Amino acid sequence: MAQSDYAVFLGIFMAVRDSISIIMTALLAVVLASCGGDGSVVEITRTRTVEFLPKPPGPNATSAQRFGYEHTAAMPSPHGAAPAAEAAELPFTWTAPEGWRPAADRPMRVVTFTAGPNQEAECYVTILGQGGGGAAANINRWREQMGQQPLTEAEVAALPVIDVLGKPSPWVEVRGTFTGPSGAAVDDALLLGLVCPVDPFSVFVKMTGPASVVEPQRDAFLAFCTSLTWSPAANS
Amino acid sequence: MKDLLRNLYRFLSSYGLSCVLFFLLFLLTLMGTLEQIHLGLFDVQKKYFESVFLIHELFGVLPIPLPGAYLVMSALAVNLFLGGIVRARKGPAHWGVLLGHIGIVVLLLGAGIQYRYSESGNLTLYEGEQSSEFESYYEWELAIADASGDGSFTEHIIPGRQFMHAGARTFRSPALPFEVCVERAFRNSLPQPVKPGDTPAGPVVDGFTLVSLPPDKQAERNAAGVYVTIRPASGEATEAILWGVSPVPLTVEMDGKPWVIDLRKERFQLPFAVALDKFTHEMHPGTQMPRKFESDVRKVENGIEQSVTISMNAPLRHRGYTLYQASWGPPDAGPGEPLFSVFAVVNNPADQFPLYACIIISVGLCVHFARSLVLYLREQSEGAAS
Repeated sequence: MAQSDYAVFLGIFMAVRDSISIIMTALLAVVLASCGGDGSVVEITRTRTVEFLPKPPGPNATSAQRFGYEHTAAMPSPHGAAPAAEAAELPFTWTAPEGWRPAADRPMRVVTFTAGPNQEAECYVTILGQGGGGAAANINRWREQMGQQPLTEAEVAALPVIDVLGKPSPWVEVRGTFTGPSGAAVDDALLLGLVCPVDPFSVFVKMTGPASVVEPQRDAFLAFCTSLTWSPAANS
Repeated sequence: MKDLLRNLYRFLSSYGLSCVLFFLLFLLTLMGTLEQIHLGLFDVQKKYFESVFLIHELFGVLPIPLPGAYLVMSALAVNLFLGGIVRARKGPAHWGVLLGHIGIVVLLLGAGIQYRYSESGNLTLYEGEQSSEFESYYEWELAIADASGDGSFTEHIIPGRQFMHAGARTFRSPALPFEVCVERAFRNSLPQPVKPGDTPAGPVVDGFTLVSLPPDKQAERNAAGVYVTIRPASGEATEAILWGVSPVPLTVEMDGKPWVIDLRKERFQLPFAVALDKFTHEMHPGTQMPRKFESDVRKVENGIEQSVTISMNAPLRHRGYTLYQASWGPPDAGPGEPLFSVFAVVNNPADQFPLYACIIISVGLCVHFARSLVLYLREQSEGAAS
């Protein structure tokens, strides 16, 4: 081996040795600094002036209401609900089934839940004014998302109905490959949906996810749909 | 002392140190990439690339202490500056290499500035909406405000880094009639109702307990949660659970005023406002995949408005902030439904540093190779002549 090669190897060896020594010293410094205590009382120094609060306050809201397990008309509607619904305040309440997890607010949605062992299934409620284009158009849009052919008006009229908020509401089940706008596809997916037409708006409840996860949630989804109840204020 | 400084200078500028640092970077890149099987991108970035030290568990069992990429790249910048610029030969034959080294130092410097001083998040607007704030993807904050204000509210902000990993801490301000003590904080959590017969691991407040969940691989989906105690100067303390994705904040009555206490994603102020006038999108035929989407916005600053179109490859750059067209929704919007547009917002004082570095490195390589080519051609012609 040439002498210059030895010099390079020697250099690397010394660098490794010195690096270890520097790293150990720095590590010791970090440990000592962390032992110095961070003080358990901290002054708040940062302030910001805003024209409106991002989340409207809910005076007297219980924890169940704050965490989305319950909703009452007395509370401000969650951020992200349809503007028309927000302005009117929601006239109905609901109860989340056991095991469902409230999820972060999403624009246009009144409330979102996730379900399943790894929260793979998603269920949410939206409200659209003026019927949102009609039950058939929305049901066929859901079918298109699942890669299925649209139904005729007669086929939509023949769908099973359940009573929600006092209205017969078409119940939809579609199996297929669910494709969201991002292009990400979920094979062997199941969509459960309900369209509740209550003049002057329609309530849409939808659950999507892998069929193996959504299937066991069928009863919970039905229970959630039927838990939608007019609030006393709306009835008065 | 002189010898010590000389030895330190030699060590920091040594070729051997460069080799070790480059090998460590290779190792960290490899390990960080493989670790993404188990951890999300955000966590891997924090653990391997934004850290000073880390413990890598080889095959999940053998703990190996390693310097983090933040320390390695800082050392590399010093090493390149001292060894590749200060100590390097300066003759015309070395100008190209020298420029290359300067370019790499600029690149590392830009990375350091970005790490320390950049802010990033997202801004969501419906058509017709205007905002001058954007929200972090990952970081949290506690905001406390007197909700009785009319048209103007002063929020007292506690950044998440002061309480998320710090144990119990009390926060106070002369402007607040109470102290806020953050007892416990969870990075990802779920408030669960406690039924009779349950034995929850944590405290129960108002019939709920906060369950700690493993961090989500997509870090932006984590829902932080904290146990807080609000202690007025006199009177009874109030215990509460705050949850990051709660649609309604906690409201407490103190000194006859309603105070709102909210755990939420950290918010940043833009030095200008952005108003969304129109959002347009086109899908690939027969699919739900977007082919093109763009937003017509107005940039509002000091009462002066300027119309700008933000599309996928044409961001809005202004006063150090860059707004990229990132997403849109709602995902299943029907015909005629209002749409919203999502902008990724980045404030990076060094966002042009990679461009400058590439130019410097390119010039350096051109100088170096051009000189080598000229020398080669000259040798060839001289050889042919002799």
